[in-house]
Formats: sequence, structure tokens, C-alpha cells
Amino acid sequence: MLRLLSALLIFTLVGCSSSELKGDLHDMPSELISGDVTWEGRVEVDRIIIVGRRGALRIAPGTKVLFKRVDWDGDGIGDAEITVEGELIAEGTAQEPILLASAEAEPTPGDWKYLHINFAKGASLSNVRVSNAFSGIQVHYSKASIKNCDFRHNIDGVRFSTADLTVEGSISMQNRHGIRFEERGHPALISGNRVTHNEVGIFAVTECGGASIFKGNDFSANDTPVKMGWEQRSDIALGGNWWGAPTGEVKERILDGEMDSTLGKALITPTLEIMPMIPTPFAIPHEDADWKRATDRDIR
Amino acid sequence: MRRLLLITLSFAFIAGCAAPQGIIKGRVMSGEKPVAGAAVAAKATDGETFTAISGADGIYSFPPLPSGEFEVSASSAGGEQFVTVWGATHLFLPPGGEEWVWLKLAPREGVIYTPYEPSTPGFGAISGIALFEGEPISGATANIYLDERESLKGPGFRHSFPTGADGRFYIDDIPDGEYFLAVRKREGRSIGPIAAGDLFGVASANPITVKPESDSSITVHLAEKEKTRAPHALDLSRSGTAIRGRVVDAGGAPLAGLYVFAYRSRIIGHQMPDFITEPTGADGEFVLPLGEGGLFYLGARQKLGYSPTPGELFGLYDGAADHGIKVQKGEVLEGVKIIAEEVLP
Repeated sequence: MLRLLSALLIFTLVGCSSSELKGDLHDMPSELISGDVTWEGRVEVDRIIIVGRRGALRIAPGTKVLFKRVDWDGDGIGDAEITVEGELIAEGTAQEPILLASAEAEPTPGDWKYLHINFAKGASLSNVRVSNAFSGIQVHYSKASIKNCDFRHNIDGVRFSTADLTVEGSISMQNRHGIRFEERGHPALISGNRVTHNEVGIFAVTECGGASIFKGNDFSANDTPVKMGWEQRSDIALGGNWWGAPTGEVKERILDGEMDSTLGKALITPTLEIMPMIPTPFAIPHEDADWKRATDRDIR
Repeated sequence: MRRLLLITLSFAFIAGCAAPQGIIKGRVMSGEKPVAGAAVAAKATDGETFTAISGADGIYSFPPLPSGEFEVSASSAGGEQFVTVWGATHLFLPPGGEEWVWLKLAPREGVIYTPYEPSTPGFGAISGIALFEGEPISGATANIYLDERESLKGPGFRHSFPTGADGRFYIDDIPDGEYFLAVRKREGRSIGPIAAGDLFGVASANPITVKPESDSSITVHLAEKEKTRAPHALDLSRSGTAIRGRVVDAGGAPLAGLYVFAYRSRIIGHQMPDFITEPTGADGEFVLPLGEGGLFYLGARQKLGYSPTPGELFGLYDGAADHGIKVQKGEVLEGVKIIAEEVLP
């Protein structure tokens, strides 16, 4: 197995860092991983990383992957990203979590694009913290497992469509959308997570209803608990979760068929009567400057 | 007169530059009858518009035009007003080429506004009747689009249920604003481009204004797509822009029955492709005609519509890490290989 140490993975883009450019992303510097590669230590990314169909990227416990803000196409969102079409194994531990975050001194949501699992062979993430991306993770047309992870300060925390996805024991907080999805008939299991303090807890964009299961989650303290997209016509079963307030009060803040008859309804009853205990998945090494920068604005 | 002079001067300028020129001509019909005196317009991509008038037999012919892309449409102001059923026909006029463009006209229809009680306060509706040869047509679907630049393809912003025997369609509860309406009836398929035998029509009053708590009703005339319809920008022999290659398995063996698709957007799979081929044959070879040059993201799959399913052969072009490939206008890229494999469960 080819091992690439962090020092080898500090890429340089002359004249491009932190600037706003106007270019096609096809021409943005990119790196194709076609073998079996392991990242460890401190890895700085300022380009598009693609794990090809025959490639595998392993991110070792304790690794920090830090993305420079490179707005190549000038749309206001950083374009450094990791796209996985092969395999991703990012499995930290409770003592040595993995960090995917902005490399900027003052990080903001959208500093980098996303961890993008697309037509991939598979992805497994555990004990990973993802911050200041446009989307913490996007999973499309792939099978993926997310356990004991923490998504904060992103536009979208966890976003998926047409995916066979499991999200368990994880946190998605302080994002614009805690979970954003287009189910399109594919199964997802969202169980035992803390999806709180987002502008929108669950954003069902379209084609949702029936195949995804949401149970045992804490969906309290979101400004809008659930929001249906313009094209979301079906009802969504969201019973068996904790909403942190009386049902009537929660429903008043849901944007669904109760407000617009063309939309489906969020069926939140029966609700959990006791708040599920979802432990903080891993210890944050606050003494580390990169971790401190990424977690400074966390709600504890 | 001033317009005619301008057009004449334009041609003089073009001729003076010895730019490659081509001919667009054709016939304007209403049902089975030729339409005389119809104004046919050919609008170039830079916005310059050329006009021609159809004769007694419906035949029209433009003077030599510069090579390039055109939108051809027709209207008639003699007595009843008529417009092209297809809206505008896009084509590429190759250097020295000659294009024959059939144009079908139908009566111009206005919008009738009636009070409407929406489920959502302040919203409106669009309704109407789909006619084919003057008779209501069943099984047609009306689609509305926010922007004509969507080329009135795909499901659009909203769509109706299929029409019944009375040809009526309804799109309820939509925000006030302007919408482009198209109605189509496909034969034997639910998706994909309009094919021979399909019926299609656009509302002559496009864009249709939807007012709060009001129903905008309009009659839409449909026409049958014929094999002899105007040469399309996607016809390789016309545009001269394409990608040729083969779809193979991981071992290099050709794969039959796969569609090759191209997206202009890097985000593949979240909407209909911009271009698509016929299924590959036993040799796995494909020709992907492109109406224009540019950057395209390529792939191949066995089925059309929805997401790839387990067991389906699927693959993306690997010549670039992001699956993108650039083609110049008028260029035919050869030897492009796409490897497809079964989608894992």
C-alpha cells in the first residue's frame, strides 16, 4: 500500500489561494487517486481530489485534512473538494478523531465544496468532524455509512439523494440544513442522531417518502424543524423522534402541506416522549490549533 | 423598406467578406394546406434576424445566410393570425449547406382569465385544451417552464395529469408570474426527446401571465413530429459536431444496448442529459451528435430515466478525472472510450 505522508500532500496553487477567480472547474487543478492511498498527519488541500473508480482513500485516525478557500469559478463557494467514486475509509477513533475543515484563519461556511461520494463503491466514516464546507458530505448513487460523526458550520450538514445510506450516532448542528435529501426510492436509515440548532432540521427537497427511516433522533431546537421543497408532494413519516416541544408548537414551525396544499406533510407523531441520549461521539483535542479553530463557535 | 435595405446591406457585407454561406428554405403549412404570405424569421445566435415571405405554395427561401445556428419560426398576419406550432426550430446551417425546414402553423390563441379559488392564497392556475387537427386530444401532458432557455424540454417547473377525452389540462396552485407552456403527447414512452409520431405544441401566448386567484386558460394546438421535420441541431450531418467512440467492459469487450449521454453540468444524474445517443450496437460503437461545441461530461448506461439500478451497466468517461471532455464546434472527436460495469447492489 502506497503511503503518502502529509508533507507530500501540501499542494501549492500559485496565485490562486483565497482569491476569487472565474474559471471552469474542468480546468481547476485536480489530483486523481487511482491506487490505494493513505493520508495521515496534516493534509492541506487546495484543489479537487478525485478518488477514481479503482482507487481507495484511507484517512488514518487523528488526520487533519484542511481545505484552502479557492473560489475557482467565482460563485462565492470554495471549490476544493474530495470526490469519491472508488472507496473511502475515514475511520477515526473516540480518542483520535479525523478533522475535515477549513484551512483559513477565520473559517466560514462554504470555504470548501464538499466530501462528495458519487457513484462510489462505498464509503465508511466514523469519528469524523466536518466543518465549514458547502456540504459536509453529499452522498449520491452510492452506499455509505456514517457513524459517530459531527457536521457543523456547513451550509448542508448531511446531504444525500438516491443513496443507500446509514447515519447513526452522529451530530449535525449549526448548519443551514441539518439533513437535506432527495430520497428517490432509495433506502436511508437516520437513527440516533442529534440534528439540532440548524436553520432547517430536515429539508426534503423532492421525491422523498417511504424508503427513508428516521427514528430515535433528537430534532429539537431547529428554527424550522422540517421544510418541504417545491416538488415534494408525498407525506414523510417522521414519527419516533424527539422534537423538544409540544407537537402543536413544532407543527407551527414546519413548512409543509399544512401551509401549502401542494406539498406533502411531515408526519411527526407519535413523537418520542423522552429525549434520546446521544453522547458526544469523540473527544475534541482543543489544545490543537486546527481543531480549536474549527470548533471555537460550537454550541456545547 | 428600411428593414429590407438593412437586410440587403447585411447580405452585401457578408458577401463582401466572402464568408461561407448556406441556404435555408422550406414550406409553411397549416394542417395539409400551404400558407401563403407567412413571415418566416431566421434568428442567428448574435440576435440578427433575417426574414423571408412564403409564396402561394407555402414555399419560402432565404437569400444565402452565413453559416451558423439559427432559430427558424413563422407567423402569418393575413386574416387570422398563425404561429409556428413548434415555437422555434433550431438548426445549424453548415458552410455551403442547404436546409429544408417544414413549418407548421396554427391559429394564434389568446389567454382567457377567469376567477380561481386556490388552495394557497394568492396563487393562480393555468388550464386549457390540447387540440390536434382541431379535435381534443387525450393522453397529452402540459408542462410549464420558468425560462424559455430551458428549451421547453424535460418535466419543467410543474406539469399536468394527462388530458382526458375532452383534451383539458389543469395545473393548479402556482405562484403568480410568467410561465412558458408546452404540451406533448408521446407514443409509447414517458420521457426522452420528441420523436417521430409524437405530438407537440407550444402556447402561442407564451409567456403566459399567471395572476393571483385567477385561472389563465389557453388552447394549444399540437402537430405531429415527422421524420421530414426541420433538420435538427443534433443531426450530426448538419452540425458537424460530435463525439464518436465505443462503450466497452473492463476487459475491453464491446457492450451493446447502452446509451451514451452528455451533460453540460458537472453534476451528472440529477436532471435529464443534454444530449443522448441511440443504444450502441454489437460493436459498442456510438456517435453522440452535439448541437454545439463546449465542455461536456460523458457517461453511458443501459436505461433511460431515474438513477442507475443494481446490475445495470453504467460508466463514466475516464479520459479526465472529472469525466469532462471539450469539443470544438464543427469538430468530431474520435476514439473516445467509455468503460461500463455493473452497478453494485
